[in-house]
Amino acid sequence: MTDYDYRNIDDVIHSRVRLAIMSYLMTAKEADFTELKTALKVSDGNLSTHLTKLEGTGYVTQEKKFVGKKPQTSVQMTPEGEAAFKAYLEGLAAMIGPQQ
Amino acid sequence: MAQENLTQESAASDLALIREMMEAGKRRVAFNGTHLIIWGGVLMVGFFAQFLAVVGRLPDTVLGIWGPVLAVGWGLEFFLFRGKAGPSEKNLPILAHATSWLAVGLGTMIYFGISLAFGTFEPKAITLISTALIGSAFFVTAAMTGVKWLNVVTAGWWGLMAYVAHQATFDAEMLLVMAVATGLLLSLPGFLMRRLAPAGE
Repeated sequence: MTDYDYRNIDDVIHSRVRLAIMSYLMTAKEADFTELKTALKVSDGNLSTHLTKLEGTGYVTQEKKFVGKKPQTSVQMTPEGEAAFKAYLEGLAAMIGPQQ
Repeated sequence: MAQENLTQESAASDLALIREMMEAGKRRVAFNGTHLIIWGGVLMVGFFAQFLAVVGRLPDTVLGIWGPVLAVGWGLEFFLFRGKAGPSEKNLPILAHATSWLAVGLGTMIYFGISLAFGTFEPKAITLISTALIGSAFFVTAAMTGVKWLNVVTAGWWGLMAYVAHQATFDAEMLLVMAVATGLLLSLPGFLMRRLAPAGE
């Protein structure tokens, strides 16, 4: 065991789907809803629920726009989200310890 | 609480998921594979037509061959990508990728237009310019996406540039070499990049 205090782990990010969303956006920075749904292999409703939760904490923003005649929801990671994700990663690394 | 379920095993599993999704986020830049397929195809036809012109099978006119070829290329781009959003300035990998390919198109077209207008067009010069720019664009794309095999394509284009540079004359066979090169080093990577890209792009 390590000395890491697991109570510091961010509960919002610590969900499989939300963690996947944040990881994807960390490198892509911006993605549309359909692309995220395909990458994560989740349903519309499931993705929408998790995005709302992430948006509520200010980790992502959602922007609805029209591309041609089609509506498109664009999701972007905020600087707060990026900082929280990095802190989460550091927490995980500390949890695993130096052997990994 | 979710935190109480966090063990070293689950943390390692989370890290694996993070790594996988971050790689997927990087690879989304591969959506431009379709552009490569289009331009690889039309340029291959253009170089082959130019070869036929040089050996006397078609009328020998640079503008008569490349004008329609470029019109078909841009026409296909317009038809396939009309109404689709361009690269966002928020996504650095996609922006760098798109800008480097825009530089290829603009750099080559500027030389082509000016040299034709002033009667100074040199097939060897445009080949050197385009191979250097295309190799550089693949180099940028490889660096931004982390897709390592793209460096092999970069090496192919820069190797071709070196081959052309060392040739004393630019003969008809070079046009065949360029036709094959655009197929192998543009269209083929385009197909492979499309396979990497997330669906829906």
